[in-house]
Amino acid sequence: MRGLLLRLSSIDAEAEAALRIIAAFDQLVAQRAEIGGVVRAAAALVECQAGLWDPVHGLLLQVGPDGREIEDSRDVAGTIARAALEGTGGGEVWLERAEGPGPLDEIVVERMAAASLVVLDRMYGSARESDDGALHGLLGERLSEIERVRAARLLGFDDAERVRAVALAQTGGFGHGATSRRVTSVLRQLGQRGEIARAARIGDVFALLTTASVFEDPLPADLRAGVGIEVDVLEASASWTAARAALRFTTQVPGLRRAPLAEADRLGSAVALAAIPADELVGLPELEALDALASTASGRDAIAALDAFVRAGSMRRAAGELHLHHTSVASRVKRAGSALGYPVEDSSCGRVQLALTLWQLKHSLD
Amino acid sequence: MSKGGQVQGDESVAGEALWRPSPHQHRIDPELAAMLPLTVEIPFEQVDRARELEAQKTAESFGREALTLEAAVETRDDVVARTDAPDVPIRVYRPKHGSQGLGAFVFFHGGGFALGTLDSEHNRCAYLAKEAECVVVSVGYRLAPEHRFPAGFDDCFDAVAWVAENARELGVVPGRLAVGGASAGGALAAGVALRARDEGAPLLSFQLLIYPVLDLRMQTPSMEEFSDAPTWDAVSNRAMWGYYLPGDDTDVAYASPALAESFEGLPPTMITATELDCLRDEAVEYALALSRAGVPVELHMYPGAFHGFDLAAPHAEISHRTLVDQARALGKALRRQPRTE
Repeated sequence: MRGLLLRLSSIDAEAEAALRIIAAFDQLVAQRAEIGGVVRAAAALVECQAGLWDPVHGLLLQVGPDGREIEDSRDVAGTIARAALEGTGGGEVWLERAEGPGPLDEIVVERMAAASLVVLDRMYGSARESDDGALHGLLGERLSEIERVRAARLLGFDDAERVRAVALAQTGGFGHGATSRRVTSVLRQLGQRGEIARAARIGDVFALLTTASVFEDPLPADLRAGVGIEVDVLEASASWTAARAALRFTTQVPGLRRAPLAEADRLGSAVALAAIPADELVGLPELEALDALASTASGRDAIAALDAFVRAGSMRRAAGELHLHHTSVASRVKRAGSALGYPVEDSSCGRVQLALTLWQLKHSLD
Repeated sequence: MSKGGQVQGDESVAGEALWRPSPHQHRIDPELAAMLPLTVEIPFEQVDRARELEAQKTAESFGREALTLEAAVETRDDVVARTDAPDVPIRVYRPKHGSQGLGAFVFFHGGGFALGTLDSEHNRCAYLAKEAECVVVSVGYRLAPEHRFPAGFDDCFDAVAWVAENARELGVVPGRLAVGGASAGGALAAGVALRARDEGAPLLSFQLLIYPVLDLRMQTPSMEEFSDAPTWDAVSNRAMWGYYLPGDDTDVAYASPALAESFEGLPPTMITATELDCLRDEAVEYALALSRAGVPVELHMYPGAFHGFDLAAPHAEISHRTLVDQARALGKALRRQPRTE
């Protein structure tokens, strides 16, 4: 019969394969493909999962090598290649494959990004240009009031809307696809409750701005979040500063049990500690002692016991929390105390709590 | 396929264009158009070379999709034994988790009557077995030009008769029997349906004709307009009939179903046609002819699609959609009460 699909891996010359890949993406653009077609083609060409995240429009697409959509599920594998979507406030495309990278992944992901930008532009028209950077601008502190009003309106907020900023980060070393998926599921949950929610990647965290006053739903696994104070939308940058500070209180540190969600409202004055510059935390004897303890497994057990003791208020309650005999707890707490240099059982727990908090904050900057 | 004897593809890198856009390029569905730079043409006029290339490509892609289906469908190879002719190889696909009361679908692969094997359409057969929840029997009929009509056609008809007779052994409800095929396989299926109607047996519930070959006259407007279209063209189509027809005074009514004098009494039918295909019109005209004869017909024309598009770009949205359309129609037809007259 007919022409049969050439498998890219069967082409010996990489140059030839690259030319064919370029021609394929050129066809998608020339023939006015929709964005799903671009992502499906990428997945089929190099036989892996392909994804796209456009935060400006809350568009998340993930497909397998057969072109069928993948449900929001746990990771297949790490990301093997990614490319940014310039000008979309953190949008990107990526490829995932359990077997590891292949020689053509880079060119496919690069062409996929270029084609996606053109296709998205066509789909959304010039609106994408004006949305660009709106969230960044609103959360930063440099825009004039008029510019902030415009940014807020572009994002869909009323001028006097009450909002919170949320800073989101991933805990594990997962691919970018994973974080984008989890952030999108948070956006969806909020949307389903009738709230406005907009997100963008800012540096190594995601910024979310939402009308929601309470964060009810449990966070997706491996995400941690710092929730900022409630403000008028035009003052969103203040909420973002608070959210960034609160996020630092969710950093996972060996031995300490800290919730993945921290709210600036509930931290009280402690949030001011986040403003301490990193240099000030270097050289503090108690923090160095905790670092030394944390380098061994038994030392980490001692920290955990100290932390539980300080939070629970008594050896017995700490023992209950740790499922240990209270004498075990007592000996671990004593070990922690000798590392710190004073009898922690007797002194005010305020000193210990402060040390543990500053220790966590120091590591949140790693 | 070959244009003036020139082979494109693997062998032609240095100094030549890697691929040539179609005259109809601007009309092609974008996801399908994107795969044309990655399509190697098979020179139909050189049958042996074409079979080699086809087998190689099939082996490379074999089971890539079916891997995900393997968990849901079991397959086994078997034969239809005959006393006065060679055994016909078949492959039986069975869904692992189907309910009781499965129907059977006998399927004939494409390949211009001269190419193709039981492996060529493995993915489609497995998919239909799972999604339409039926037993699929794929038939390895004898190929032209070594075996001209009616050899391959008889293989197909005998296989269908065998399935009907051995329904219980196959775990199939008697009377729930459909036939179908893609491209030249569609001609075979339509011919089988005509003969089954003429002979009164076996009783068929449904026929599924996928961008079928139907008309040796080659006089339709699409044959002219799309004489040079991606993956199949008029030159190849003419060569195909040349390989297949016996060239003597054998009655070829069943070889070219569009020539039938009557379409009454044919089973309910689904036909898929592709817009940018020299075979487009004969498929649509067949649908109309059957409908005028009182046969229930479902017709899908896929816009921007060329012949065999779902094999060239299985990941494309339009390819997913045609498989879904086929599975739904087939499954529904096989679940109806068997015809009794």
